[in-house]
Amino acid sequence: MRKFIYFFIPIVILALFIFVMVSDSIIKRNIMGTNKDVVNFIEITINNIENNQWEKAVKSTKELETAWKKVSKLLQFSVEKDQMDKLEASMARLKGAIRAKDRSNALIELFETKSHWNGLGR
Amino acid sequence: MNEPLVVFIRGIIGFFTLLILTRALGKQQISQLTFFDYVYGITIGSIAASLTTDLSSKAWPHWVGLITWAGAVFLLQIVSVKSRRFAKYVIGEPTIVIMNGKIVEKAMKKMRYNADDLLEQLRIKSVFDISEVEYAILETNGNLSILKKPDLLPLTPKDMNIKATSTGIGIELIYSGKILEQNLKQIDKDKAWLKAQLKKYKVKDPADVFLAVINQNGKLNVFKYNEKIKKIIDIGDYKGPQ
Repeated sequence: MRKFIYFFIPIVILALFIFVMVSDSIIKRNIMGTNKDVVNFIEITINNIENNQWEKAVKSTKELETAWKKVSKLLQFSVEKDQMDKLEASMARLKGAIRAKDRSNALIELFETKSHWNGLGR
Repeated sequence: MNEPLVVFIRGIIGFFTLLILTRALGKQQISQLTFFDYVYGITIGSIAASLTTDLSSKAWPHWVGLITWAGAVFLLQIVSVKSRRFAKYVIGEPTIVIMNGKIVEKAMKKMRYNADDLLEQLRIKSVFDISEVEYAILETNGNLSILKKPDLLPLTPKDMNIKATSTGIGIELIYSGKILEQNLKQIDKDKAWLKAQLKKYKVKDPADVFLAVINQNGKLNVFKYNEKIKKIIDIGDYKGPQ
C-alpha cells in the first residue's frame, strides 16, 4: 500500500501539471455555447457589421470583450503571452473601427481576432 | 494575463517536476561523468527557468524538454547497469597512474594528465611526498584514489593484535523532540522504557530532547535543547559593528 502511494502521488502531480499545460484545447472546446464563447461573439459581430447594424455591433463587441476576459483567466496558464497580447490589441483596434463605423477595418480586425484565437495554444 | 500568477504557477510546475525527476534519477552520479553532470545541471536549470519565466512560449514544450533530458539520463543509467561494454564505452575506465611506487607516464599522456595535476590531487589527499604512494588510480570522474605504501598506512587494532568491538550504527530514537516509534520497535523497546532512560538524564519530557541516539551496545546518547554550555567558542574574526 505504501509503495502504491509512493508512486501514485508523483504520477498524479505530474498528470495534473500536464493537464494545466495542455488545458487550452479542452477549454476552447468546453466554452462553446456558453457566455465565454469568443468565436460565437466574433461571428455575431461580423454579422452585425455586414448588415450595418452598428449599435448591435457595439453590444456584441462588449459581449466579446467580457467573454474574452472570462476565458483568458483560464487560458493564461497554457498559452503564450504574445498571442494573448495580439488578440487584445486587435480587439482594441476593432472597438475603434466600430466607433468610426469603418466597415472594412472592423471586418479586418474581427478576422484577425479570430485568427489569433485559433492560434492560441498552437 | 496576470503575469505574476502565471509565473508562480509555472514555477510550481517546474520546481516539483524537477524534484520528482531528481528523486527518480536517484543518488548515483549521472554515469560517473562529472563534467556531464555539470552540463546536465546547467541545461536542466536553464529549461526549468525558461518554463517558469518565458511567457512568450507555452510551458508544455519546456516541460517536454525537461522530461526528455531526465529520461535520457535515466535510460543511460539503466543501460550502463545492464551492459558493461556500453558503460565502458560511455563512461570510460579508471587508469593507474602510479604503480608499485612508479609513475606510469604512458597512461598519463593518454589521459592528457600532467605531473602538476597529479601532484595537486595528491596534495588534496594530504600526500605531500609522492614517494609515499604505492598505487594511484585516476577514476572516471576525475578523482584520484591512492593507496599508500604498507609501512605508511595508519595503524589498526588488528596490527596491534587488539580485538576491537563493533559499535554498529546509531539508531535515532528521538529527533527534534519527536519519538521515532518505528525505530523503538526495531530495537524491541517501547515508550515506557525510553522515558525511564531519559529520567537518568534528568529529562521529564521527550519534547525537550533535540536528539537521542542508541548504539549497538545499548548506550544511549541524549542531546537536549538549550544545553547549558558555559562558553561557546566564537570562531569568527569579525567583532561586529562598533
